[in-house]
Amino acid sequence: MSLPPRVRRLLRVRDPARDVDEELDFHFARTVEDLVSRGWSEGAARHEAERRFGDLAWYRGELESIDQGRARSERRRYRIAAVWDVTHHAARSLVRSPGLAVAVVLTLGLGLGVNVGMYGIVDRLLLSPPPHVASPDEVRRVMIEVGSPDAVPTPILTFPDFSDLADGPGLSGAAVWSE
Amino acid sequence: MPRKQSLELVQGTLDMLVLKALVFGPRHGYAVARWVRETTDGRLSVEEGALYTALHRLERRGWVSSEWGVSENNRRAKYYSLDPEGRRQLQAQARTWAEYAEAVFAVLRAGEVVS
Repeated sequence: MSLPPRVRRLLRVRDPARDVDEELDFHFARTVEDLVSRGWSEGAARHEAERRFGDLAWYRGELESIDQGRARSERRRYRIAAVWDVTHHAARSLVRSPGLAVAVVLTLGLGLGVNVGMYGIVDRLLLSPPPHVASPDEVRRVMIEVGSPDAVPTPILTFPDFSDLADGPGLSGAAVWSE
Repeated sequence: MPRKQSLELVQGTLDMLVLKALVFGPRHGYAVARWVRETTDGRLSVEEGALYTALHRLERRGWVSSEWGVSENNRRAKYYSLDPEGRRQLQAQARTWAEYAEAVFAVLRAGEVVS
């Protein structure tokens, strides 16, 4: 798959370790070349180049960690710039077309308002216990079975049945509704 | 005749040497090391590895910037160049350094007992 160059540039990650390797390879190759051209033997030149450089493994680690730090802060700077760009662009386009801005604000406002209203209703009806009930955990819906044990339980009962139930033991209070 | 003694680098002068090496235009690390060696006639004992860490640190600080290019013998090399801030820093550090050296000389010359 081929990406547009702009996108590729954003995605390209330069590997600090590879860069350091390539830079140091060049350094050693040039130093050896230079010494050989002055009459040193290949081996002696290599040795001298290493002596002049110092502890190669240590310096290599240092260089990589400096470059990684730099890459990190560059990425951070880039992200901040990107967020700023988008915000800036949004603010400018809102100012340029106030009609659109009003429409967007109204749409969002109404949408949010309706949403919040619905949540309130659902919460009241389904989620939170009814007000003025001392211990909602103990509220039960009473179903009765009429006739044989395999009759379907039903919440429908006559008023005398309800009176018996309400006055009987076991319930601290009872309520019904009619349709 | 006594052998030329090699001088340990005074703390903080490494950055100045590297910045100065880039005043003449973009250079790769090898050229910086060679320039320092030739200019000081090999009298300063500074490991070339230290020059590279200085270059990378300065780049991280935003005083120099780097770019891959092609060297005089057609190989890929990383070239460093001086940024405006690096140039300012070099001037400031060189001034401080000169004042410091003058002050030390003034003390050493006082009374002119030693020649």
